[in-house]
Amino acid sequence: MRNPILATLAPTVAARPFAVSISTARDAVIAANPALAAAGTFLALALIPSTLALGLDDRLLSGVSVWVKPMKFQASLAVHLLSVAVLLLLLPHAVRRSRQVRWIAAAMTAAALGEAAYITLRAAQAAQSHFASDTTLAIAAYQLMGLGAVILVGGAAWIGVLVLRHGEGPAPLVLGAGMGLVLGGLLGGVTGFAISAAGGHWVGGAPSDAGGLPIVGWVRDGGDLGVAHFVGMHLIQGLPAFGLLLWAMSARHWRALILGAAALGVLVTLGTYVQAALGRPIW
Amino acid sequence: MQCVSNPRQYRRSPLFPADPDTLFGYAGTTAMAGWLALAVGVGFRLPLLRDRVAGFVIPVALATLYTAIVAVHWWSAEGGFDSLASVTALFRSEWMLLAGWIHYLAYDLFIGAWIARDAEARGAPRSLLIPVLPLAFLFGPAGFLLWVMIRTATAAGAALPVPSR
Repeated sequence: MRNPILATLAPTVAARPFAVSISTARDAVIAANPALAAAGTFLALALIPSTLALGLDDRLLSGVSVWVKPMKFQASLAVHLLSVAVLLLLLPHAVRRSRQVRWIAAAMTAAALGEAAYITLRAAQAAQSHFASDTTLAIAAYQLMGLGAVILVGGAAWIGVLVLRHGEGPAPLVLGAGMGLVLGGLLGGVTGFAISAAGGHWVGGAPSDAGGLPIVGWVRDGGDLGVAHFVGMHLIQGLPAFGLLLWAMSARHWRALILGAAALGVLVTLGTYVQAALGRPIW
Repeated sequence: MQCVSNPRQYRRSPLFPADPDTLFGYAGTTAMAGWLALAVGVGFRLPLLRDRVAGFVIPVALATLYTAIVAVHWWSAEGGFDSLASVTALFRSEWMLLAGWIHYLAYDLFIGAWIARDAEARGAPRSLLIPVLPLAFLFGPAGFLLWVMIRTATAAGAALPVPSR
C-alpha cells in the first residue's frame, strides 16, 4: 500500500474501525482535495441559516416550504462533494494531484456552489430554479444548471474510471469505489435527465410535494422519478461502503459480491424508474 | 445673526449643515469612499487604504458623527430598546433613524475591513472575498456570516493553500 494517507489511516481503521478521529478524517479529506472538502463543508454549513429561514418563512412552492428544495440541494451536494473527496484518497498521490483531477474537482466545486447559490437565491424569492419559464434569464439559468449537473455527475464518473484504473489500497474498497462512482455518476445523470425531460419528478399525481415522504419528499399520489435518482446517485456511497465492509470482514468472494451489489443497484434504479414512469408511488 | 426663536428650526451653516438629509448624503458618500478604499486596498494590496482608511479612519469618522447625533437628539426622541414597539417609536425620529443608518454604515465597513485583514492573516486567497465583501457592503451581517462559513469550511484557518511536497 503505497498511498501515504491510506497507509496512515488503514492500521487505525483496521484495528478500531469506529475510532478514527474526526480530525484525522477531516485532515485526510482536506489533503485529498482542498476545494471539494471546503465546498462540501460550506454547503453543509449553509443548512444552518437555511433551517432558520425555513422556520421563519410560510411561503410555499409546489406545496412545501420554499426552503425545502435549497436545503435538499445543499445537503445532497455536500454529501456528493465530500464523498468524491473521500474516494479521491484511493488514488495515488501523483494521480490525485494531477492537473486532470484538480480540474475535474475545480469544475465540480464551481458547479455545486453555483447550483446551490442560484437555487437558494431563487427559492428565497419563491421562484422556480429548475423548470423556470418566467423570464429569459431564468430559462437560460435553468439550461446552465443542466450543464452544471452534467459536470457534477460526469466528474464523479470520470474519477471512478481513474479509481478503477489507478486506485490503490484495500482491493474491495477500490473496486466498490470505482464502480460506485462510475455507476452512480451515470445513473444519477440519466435519471436526472429523465426528470428534466419529464418536466418534473411527478408522474400522474398532482404537481405538489405536500404529504411526501419526510426529508426526501417522495409523493404518494403518483409516480416519483426522484426515487430512481436517489438510488442511482447513492451508489456512490453504497458500493464503497459495501466494499469497505467486505474488506473489514475479509470476505472471500468479494469481487463477485461487489459486482452483484452493483448489478442489484442498477436493477433497483431501473425498477424504481419504471415504477415511477408507470405512475405508481413507492410507499 | 438672527437668534433661533423656534427650537424646531435648524441652524444652517455651509460648513456643517445640520439637517438630516444633507448629513445622510455626507455619511453615505463617506462610507462609499471607505468601501472604494477597501476594494482598492484589497485589489492592489495596499494596507494603508485597507487597514488605515477603510478599517479605521472612516469608521471612526462615522462613529463620531453617530455619537454627535445621538448626543444631541436622543433626548427628544421617544421610545427605547426594550421592545420592537419602542424601537419603532425611536426610529420615528428622523434623527435617530439617521443615526441608526450611520451605525450600519460604520459597522458594515469596519467588518468588511476586518474580513479582509482576517483573510490575509489566514493566508486565504483574495478571490474568496469576491462574494463576501459585496454581501457585507449590502447586507452587513450576511457578509460576516458568509466569511465565517467560508473560513470554517476552508480548514478553520489552517494554512489554506496546502503545498504538495
